[in-house]
Amino acid sequence: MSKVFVGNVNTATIDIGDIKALNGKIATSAGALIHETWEQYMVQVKDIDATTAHVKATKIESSVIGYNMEPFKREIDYTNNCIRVESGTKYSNRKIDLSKSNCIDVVNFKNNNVINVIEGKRR
Amino acid sequence: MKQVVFLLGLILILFVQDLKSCDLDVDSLFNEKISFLERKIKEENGTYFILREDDISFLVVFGLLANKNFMDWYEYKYNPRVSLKEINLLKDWYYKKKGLITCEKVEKAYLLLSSDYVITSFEDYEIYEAQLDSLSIER
Repeated sequence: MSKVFVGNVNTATIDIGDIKALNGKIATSAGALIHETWEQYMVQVKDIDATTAHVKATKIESSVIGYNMEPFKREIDYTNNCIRVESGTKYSNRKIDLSKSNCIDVVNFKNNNVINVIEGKRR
Repeated sequence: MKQVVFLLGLILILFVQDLKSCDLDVDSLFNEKISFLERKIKEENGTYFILREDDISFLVVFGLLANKNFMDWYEYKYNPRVSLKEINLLKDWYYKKKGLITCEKVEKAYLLLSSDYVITSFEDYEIYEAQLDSLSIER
């Protein structure tokens, strides 16, 4: 259990346990890992601000998982202890697949002073 | 001769249409959003947790243009909040750079944030990044 929620670019840390737990279609381990790594690279090496780094990291994550995403469409719900991660279009082999587009993953977490992702699933 | 005049006329029409292609009133948008955020900050005793998606987008768009953060990421990335400190920084920057902040730049920044900007490969990401970098007014 850690106080880092998936990753924190300001402290250059990631919670590998949270990342391992992301087993959805949109919220995936591989997507989160490249997101956090790219974001840190942008801040530390390219010297850009954290918000722009997050915007770019979301698109690099999109290019890995095949879902177009908006950088701030991740609503935290403290009542139900979950985050909804929404996607736009799904693509593979450079083609848009509308039948698999516009999905929502719900990531549950525990909230007893520390936050940890325990589940990711497709809705 | 008639053909030349016709062509010149056509070019002029296309040019005028291009000028009118962006109809976003940046000043109105800015004043409306700033007034709303200042009122909320006052109501919430100094710190407002931003609830509306379009308010987040507004601060991110101007952050992209300024290459600055105009929000505080409380519990990183999920609960952005704003105080008068950030709003005053944004206002200072906006009035200094107002002449350089074009309607087209603001519209493009909004487009780049939305999922309507579709990428289908890593090569698309590289184009996306270049477009995002071209928005910055500070550099």
